[in-house]
Amino acid sequence: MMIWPEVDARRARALPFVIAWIVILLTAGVSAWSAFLGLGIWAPVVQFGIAAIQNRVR
Amino acid sequence: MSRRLPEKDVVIVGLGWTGSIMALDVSFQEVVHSAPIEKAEVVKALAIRGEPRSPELGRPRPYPLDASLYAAGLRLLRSQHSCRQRRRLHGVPWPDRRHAADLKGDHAPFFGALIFTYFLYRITYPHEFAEAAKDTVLWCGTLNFVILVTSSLTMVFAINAAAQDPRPNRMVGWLIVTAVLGCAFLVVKGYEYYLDVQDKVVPVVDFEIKPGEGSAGELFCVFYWVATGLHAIHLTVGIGLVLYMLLGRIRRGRITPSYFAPLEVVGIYWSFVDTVWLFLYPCIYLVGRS
Repeated sequence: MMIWPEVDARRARALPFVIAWIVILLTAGVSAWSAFLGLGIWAPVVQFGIAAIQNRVR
Repeated sequence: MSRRLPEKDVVIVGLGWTGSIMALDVSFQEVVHSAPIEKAEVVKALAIRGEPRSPELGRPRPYPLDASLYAAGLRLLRSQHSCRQRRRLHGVPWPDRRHAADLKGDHAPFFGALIFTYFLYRITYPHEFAEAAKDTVLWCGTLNFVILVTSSLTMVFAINAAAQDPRPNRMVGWLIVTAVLGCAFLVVKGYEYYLDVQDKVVPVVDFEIKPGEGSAGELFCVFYWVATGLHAIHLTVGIGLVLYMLLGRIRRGRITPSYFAPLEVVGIYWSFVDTVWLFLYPCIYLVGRS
């Protein structure tokens, strides 16, 4: 999580990573929930959109 | 350098980050192209794919994914070569952050091509894929999602500890937790494979076509086994790297707040493995649940 080279580990705090972790888990829950909604062709769009957001949050 | 594609029956099966595109003959017997091709040709090939095809060509083929692996392998070999060349020319020690970025970039097409192929077939056989995906074990995939995302968090804590704390205790503790979580992922995955074998959804070896799936159901299972198997191999390598850090570099005092790049590189690799699962999870476990 957030270990792209631009993040300086020497000054990094724990809290933003914990928040990112919670956000990823919550959005994963939303993604799983969306699978049961019967969104049809939009389901993969929503789920991959969420995966892209999760990837960005990391 | 570009090469002309055959005039008909071409399916693009993999798309690399650098625009190198892999195309196969529809029979999936022969690789016809693996070099970068012009955009116009891609458009043309996609247009050809939309044309009516003979019934024989319309049948699902169970083993198209070898093309993706081939494309990814080519990309990997090419980039490893350029990496070695740069090290020789510029004397850059391994690892540095640039190599880490290379590492991530090299492996991305590996799974990118697979997922691209998956979507081509999912669009072509939506109902069959939805039926086949119901055989996957949702709770296993979800549990593994939580385990892997948590392991990424602990890996970050280990890197932060390495950068901020001159004593290695905290870093070692977080790395052990990371390795244990990685092993937990593999245990859950192994149990899921065991359930799959019981359920007879192992392509080639023991596959039972269920009502509604058709033969395209086997395609989904091929994707499932190839993608999750490759991911598990990558994760195993990641666990090995963490153990190497613990038993090799850290024990000898080679990871310090002034030089922790090797651990950072391992962290980037771990992050990549985690990223892949973010995208595999909806592809495999969330299809056809409604």
